[in-house]
Amino acid sequence: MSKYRVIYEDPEQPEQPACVLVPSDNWLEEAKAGLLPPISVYWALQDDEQQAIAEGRHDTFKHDPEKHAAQWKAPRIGPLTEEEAIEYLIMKDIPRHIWSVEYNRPMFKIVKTADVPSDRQFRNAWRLAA
Amino acid sequence: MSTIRANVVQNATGGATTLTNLYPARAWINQTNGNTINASGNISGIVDLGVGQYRANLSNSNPTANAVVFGSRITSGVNEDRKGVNCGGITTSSFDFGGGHSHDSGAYEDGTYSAGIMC
Repeated sequence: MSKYRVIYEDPEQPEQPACVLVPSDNWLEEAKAGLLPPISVYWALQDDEQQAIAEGRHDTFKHDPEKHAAQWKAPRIGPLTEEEAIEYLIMKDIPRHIWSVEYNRPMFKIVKTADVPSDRQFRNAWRLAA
Repeated sequence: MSTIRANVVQNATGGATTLTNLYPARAWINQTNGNTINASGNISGIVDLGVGQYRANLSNSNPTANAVVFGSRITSGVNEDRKGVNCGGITTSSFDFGGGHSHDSGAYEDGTYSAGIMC
């Protein structure tokens, strides 16, 4: 199990509680083994899909076959440490406006797994501490 | 009859193969409370969105957003089978699931859920 979790808030959804990203052990193993493509491969796919959403054609959206195949065809970036893999995962799986835009407070934090509360009684009230 | 022995089967570009008249899941996950992945395939991580609401992120994106998400709750106890599972929020790189609306309160509930996506 990963030593880390990523807690983030979406400034576009201020009423939502903080989200907690949990990395998959299988994916982490791939990252450590150097099996991931450059992050730009995923960004290109995300850009095309966001464009389709903006134009109202997401229901029938299909990726460009070449860009989609780049997930497997692109040269691998080599082995990552767990810390590097978490940074990669943030850029891949957390919406870009959360981590690429500067706000007046942090919108995400990488924390130790043990620091995430196990008591979920007030889970829907969780906020990211300043 | 022939027997194929191989450790890895890929298409010509190294991606997922197309299996004629077979329709396997593109990704699947079994998880508990959004913080423990019990088992998975083609999943890079899960997001705990709140009580009973989860998002599965795919290791490799699907070719299309025109997909179906299916799910179930691993249940035990009286009336547990009456609790539904919501699935949706589909993109080519993630899908949302969860729910387990309590039959009496209508509230979302944490628990162990399985979900997958096909396209």
